[in-house]
Amino acid sequence: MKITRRSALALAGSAVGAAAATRAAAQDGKEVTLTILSHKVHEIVARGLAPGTTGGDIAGEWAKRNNVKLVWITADIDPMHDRLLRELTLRSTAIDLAFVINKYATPRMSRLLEPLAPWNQKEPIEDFKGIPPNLIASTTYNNSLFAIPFRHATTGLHYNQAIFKERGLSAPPGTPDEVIDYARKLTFTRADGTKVNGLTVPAGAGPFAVLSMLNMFGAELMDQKLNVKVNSPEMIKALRTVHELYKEGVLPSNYATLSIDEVITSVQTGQAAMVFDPFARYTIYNDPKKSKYAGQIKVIPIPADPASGRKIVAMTEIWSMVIPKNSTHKELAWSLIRDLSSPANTIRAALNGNGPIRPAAYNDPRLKEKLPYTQQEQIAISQATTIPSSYDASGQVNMIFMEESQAAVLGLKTPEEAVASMQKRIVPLVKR
Amino acid sequence: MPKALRQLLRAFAVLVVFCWSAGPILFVVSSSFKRQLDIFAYPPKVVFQPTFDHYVALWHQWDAFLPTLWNSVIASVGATVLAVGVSFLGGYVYSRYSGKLLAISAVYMIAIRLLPPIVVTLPLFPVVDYLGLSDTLTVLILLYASFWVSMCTMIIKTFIDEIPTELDEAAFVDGATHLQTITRVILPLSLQGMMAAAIFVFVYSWNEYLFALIFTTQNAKTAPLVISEVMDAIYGTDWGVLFAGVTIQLVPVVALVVLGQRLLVAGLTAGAVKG
Repeated sequence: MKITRRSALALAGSAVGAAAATRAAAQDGKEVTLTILSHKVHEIVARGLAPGTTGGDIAGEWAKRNNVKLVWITADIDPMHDRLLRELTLRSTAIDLAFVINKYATPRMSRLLEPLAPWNQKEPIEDFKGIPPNLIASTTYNNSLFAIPFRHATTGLHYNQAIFKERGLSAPPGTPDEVIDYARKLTFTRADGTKVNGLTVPAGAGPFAVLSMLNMFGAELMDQKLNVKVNSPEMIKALRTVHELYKEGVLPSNYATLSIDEVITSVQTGQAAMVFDPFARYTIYNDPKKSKYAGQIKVIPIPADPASGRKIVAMTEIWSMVIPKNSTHKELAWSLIRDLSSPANTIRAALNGNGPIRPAAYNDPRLKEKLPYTQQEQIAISQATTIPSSYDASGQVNMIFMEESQAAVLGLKTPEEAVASMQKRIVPLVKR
Repeated sequence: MPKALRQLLRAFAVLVVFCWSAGPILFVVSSSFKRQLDIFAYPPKVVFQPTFDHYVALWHQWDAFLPTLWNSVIASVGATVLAVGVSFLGGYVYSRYSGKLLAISAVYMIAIRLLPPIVVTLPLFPVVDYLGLSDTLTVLILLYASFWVSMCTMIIKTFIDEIPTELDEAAFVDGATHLQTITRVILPLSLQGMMAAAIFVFVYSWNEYLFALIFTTQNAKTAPLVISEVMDAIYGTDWGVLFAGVTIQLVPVVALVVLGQRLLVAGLTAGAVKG
């Protein structure tokens, strides 16, 4: 469509008109509907829907104060982002606020989102500086802030204390070599025929968990300045080690297609002794209704190679709140973003099971008491890095990494061949 | 080969086929009544104390499931009626008339059926939005019916082909109009084929995910979307609740096929031209 001055003015005029109408409707006491597109998890933590949580209905209270009806449209991660991208390309969308995971937050998407810095200047988020600058940087392209971080999922190493005891191990591993050594010792077949894998990882669900594992050996996909680093001795060593574990049966035979569901079930049923997975899974691993080993699955930060000078490594995924440029209730959407981002509500959402993006939240005594894993998570998040996504081909690069790394693990390629191919295919996409 | 051995082998083959086809369904249905901890127990628990906890949890935690199930009913029935109705008329024309244009259109209908549905969604999304049909059951009914009209037309055509043209001629001789011939002679005798076509459309519409995902948000959301949400990528799947939802989702389809079987096997045209 050709954008003329007239059409731009008409669009701007209609946006201003819509905003004025929204405010007028709210002031007139008429209930306005605000539509939110998110994963179910965001509704659960913002409304306190999970049984046993104590943070309360944060979004509901805001809606009541502002005479707004909240409509949550929820879907799984990939479908909801697909839907959001389609909505963003329309003339106007019914979606007023959406939650976006960092791997999808590319510059291309950011151009379709409302710049939030002017809103934050006009009506600032309380203690905005309390949100770590690296998180703000991950939602800022070309000096334009397009999203406000809301939730993080940071990987740790979960281990089954009961299986450790069964195999004569008394403490969790402290180095990557110990992780590998323990994984071998923890691989066995029970008398009833159940196979126990010493280590597992949801390798079929994307590069996040796999990179967390490889990161332990100092391997990385690229640094934060987008320098591709797959063709490194660390990556070759890491892939070779994982290949050996796969060959020995330490990793499950369906490694390449392992979904998050399968991994969770294998940990809950005691068919996996250790897993690289976000800290927040602690709750479901220890849910007495679902887990045979409730109370016995512990989590620690992932140990780093001592030679690297670091004690731990961690990778994190960030969910952020965005306002579509073509939405009609921007003012109300910003008001809800401000409310959900406040220091007090960050703690309340954390009590509802959210990964708090404000480090100060971890000092809250209620959090320490209710969710013991958060103390370990606090250590991990302080060192955590994200998979950079500040280039448009981010999704494609993730797919290439999955394809090549799995080929190396399954033995279809040597690690050297796989990393050389990765480097060759990824560099042009990142530099484009 | 001795008769006894032959019978034994036949029984074994039937058992294998039964386990192969019914095993996963039985696993899902029985698991919906098991405690969460027993679902993946090893060795599997065949005898267990049934529980309705998962059905209660589905009701409480996924309160959108029942309304969306109703949406599924409307979309599936609407699409089935529309597709079969249109296909019947199309099938009649293809069966009773011939010509170059008809032959070309028949090939065209089959050819477009080969397009993967995802291809259509890209250009269709802004159009549906422009027409104000986004998040309505109307768009689902139209899409589901459109995708099956070609196949249903061919299915019904083959059934109408079996109806002797002498019956049409007899009706015309008796003074019936074209419309009367179609509705009073051809339609009753084509019911078998229409039912077969209806089952195809209904089962497809009932389980359809892609179009529902793309073209609905809340008002017209269907049950498969809610079931897909239960298969959660963050908290992990609540298997018991998922199996409860799938069991409920299975019931209408199984009922339809069981009921429809009678019509499918009945030889409606038997003896039609006798005497």
